[in-house]
Amino acid sequence: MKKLLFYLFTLFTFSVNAQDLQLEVKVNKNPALTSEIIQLQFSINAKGDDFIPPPLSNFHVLSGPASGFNQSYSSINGKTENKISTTISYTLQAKTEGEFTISSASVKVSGKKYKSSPYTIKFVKDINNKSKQSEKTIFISATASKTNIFIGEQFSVIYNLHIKNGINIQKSEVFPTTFDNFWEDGIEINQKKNKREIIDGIAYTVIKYKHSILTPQKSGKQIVPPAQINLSYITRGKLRGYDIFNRPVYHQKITSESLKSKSFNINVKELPTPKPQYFYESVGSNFSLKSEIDRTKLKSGEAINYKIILRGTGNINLSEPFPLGFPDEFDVFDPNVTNKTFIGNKSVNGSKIFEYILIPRSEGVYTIPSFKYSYFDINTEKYVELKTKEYKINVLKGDLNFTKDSTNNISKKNMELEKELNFTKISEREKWQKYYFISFWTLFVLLISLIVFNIYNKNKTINPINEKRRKSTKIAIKRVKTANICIINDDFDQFFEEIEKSLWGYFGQKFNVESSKLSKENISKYFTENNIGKELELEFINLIIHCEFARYAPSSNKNMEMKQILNRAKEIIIKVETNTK
Amino acid sequence: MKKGITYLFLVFAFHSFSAEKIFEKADSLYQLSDYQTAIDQYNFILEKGLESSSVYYNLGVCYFQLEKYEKSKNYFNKCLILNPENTKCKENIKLCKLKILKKDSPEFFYKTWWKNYSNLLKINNWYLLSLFSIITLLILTFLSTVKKKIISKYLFVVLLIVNLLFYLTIQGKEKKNKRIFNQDLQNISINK
Repeated sequence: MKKLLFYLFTLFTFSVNAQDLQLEVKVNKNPALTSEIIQLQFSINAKGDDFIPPPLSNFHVLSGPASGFNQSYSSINGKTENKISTTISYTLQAKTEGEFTISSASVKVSGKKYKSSPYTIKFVKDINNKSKQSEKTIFISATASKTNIFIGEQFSVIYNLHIKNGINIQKSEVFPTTFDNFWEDGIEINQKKNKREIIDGIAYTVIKYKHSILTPQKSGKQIVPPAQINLSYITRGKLRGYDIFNRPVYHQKITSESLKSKSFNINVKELPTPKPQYFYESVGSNFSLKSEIDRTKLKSGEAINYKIILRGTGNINLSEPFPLGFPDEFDVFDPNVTNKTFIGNKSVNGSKIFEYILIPRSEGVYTIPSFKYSYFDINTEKYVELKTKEYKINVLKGDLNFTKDSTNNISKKNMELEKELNFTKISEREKWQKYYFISFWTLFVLLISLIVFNIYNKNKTINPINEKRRKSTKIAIKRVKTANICIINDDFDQFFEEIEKSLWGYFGQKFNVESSKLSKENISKYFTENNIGKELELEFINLIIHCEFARYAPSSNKNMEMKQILNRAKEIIIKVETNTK
Repeated sequence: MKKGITYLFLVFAFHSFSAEKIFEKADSLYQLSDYQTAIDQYNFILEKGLESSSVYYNLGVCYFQLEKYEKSKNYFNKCLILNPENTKCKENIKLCKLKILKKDSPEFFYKTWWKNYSNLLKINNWYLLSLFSIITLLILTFLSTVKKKIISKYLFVVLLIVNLLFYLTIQGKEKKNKRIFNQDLQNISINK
């Protein structure tokens, strides 16, 4: 299983590689003059070796084969690409005029052989007559695909601008051409694709700048008007001198010229009579007619979607919705027309969809009849009739109030103005909204805080021991507050006095003892009365004694001791507080 | 000159203060089937910051007559926001949809439920209901802090959920309304 997967994997990668790689042939000038030097280039997007050149006996090989290897890495958006290409180039010149085929060359890439396809180059004889060259440096040519046609038949007109090689165009102004008595569909032109052409021994660059599909609207002799372009370009003027490399430098001469193509006539014929009954001026070829329906069983008052799709090549984009005979019990709305045509090289293709909405008013069985549509076929020069399918429609009784009334009547009845005068300010609506949101959120926050408060309160009652501890800590902290200040002030004597005072004060307040009766005997008495442990009692008394002594016998580490005593006092108060009921 | 200006001022003031007059004028224009001018009159009322369901309704009707069904439907929708019980308006929306050839795409059942539910009340009444319910809840919780156990926990949770539901309903409605009203703004800017 694993092995199989592995094989599959290798097969896959291999096939991808094989598809991508191709040995391409390129020639920089085609067609070329016999006097011109051309570059022949073979290139492949991989590292290739063992290049077997084609026989080049028909040419003078001026240089080559020169092989180049090019590798580039690029990283765009974290995607790293590695581009490798191998090129083998020749510089050639033809021996004689004529068409020569460069047969296939081959190259090896990782053991596999790749062959180039044969390539034909045309060589035209050069005319060294300089006087003739100056006549036609730039011109426009206009070509029509047909000149003898029927009304409605489409043909194409192409305007080409021919520019002699070496002319540098500075400025151009194209005048729009309008075609009278023709319907025009323009084609977008790829400006980058320039052709090379040789006319009378002069090499031209040919720019296609206008390509239109025309549909004649009137019979008789029609004129295709000339196209006009104003151009200014640079030509070489007088010799000005020589530059430092001893090359001649010329004055630049800007020539502006208004170019016009020749106009020509188109002979437009009338369509043969008699025209058939269902002919709607459609001329073309390969027309087809189809109908679609979304349902044949429904209740009255509901809608049927009925489509007619007209497809073909010709003046289809000019076709209008044609009259159809639907049953009288149907309400028919104006069709929704979708144009799905595109413009080809010589004519317009595509389809046009007429979408009808039908609403049967009452129950019953109806038929949508088959509709006929005729067009004039250019190829056979005959009328052809097309037909749609017939549909049977079963209408049940509906429960809508559309039943007896047509929708148009309903719309008339419904389309009456209301006359109530109940203006409110638009801002009022927004105000309401604002107030609502503000009040809602404040109330909501209040609610949430109440809930949180509730939960908090509940927790308090649930855990009494913790609660007691918390309370007594509070009391202890309050008691030793003044002592704490003494620590900060580093007042040693005062500190012990304060601690003693706070302990006595706490005891007095806790058990309601008058200050005159404060004594250690009383401490043990009250502690046992209140069931506070013996240990705590001892600790309490010890701390008081300790404080008394400490006042008179200070230890070496005052600060440490103060803090310890403070903590002990706090701890004792907390313990006493929690242990009493 | 000065007099002219004061007159102009007077005329302007007169215009701006009588939305009813403009409304009636638009009505008469409609009867003369000058729909576009009628629309301008209604828009004038809206520009003055006043609105009513009937203004939107009438705009919808005017656009219907001009066969601009998309716009017409939009205005009927607005009318329905201000006055959800207007059955005629609902029918007209259906008609517009027929004219536009836009079929109602089948909706999930809960969506229609939600729609019906949120259309039960006008938006202002929804506001009141929501505020009322949250105040009740607030009072109940407050009472329960003072005297324990007035409402049970479960009832409290249910009430809270109901409150949030109201809030969500209102928010959903607001969003939809905003969308409908903004749609028109876009249309106007395209037209201009």
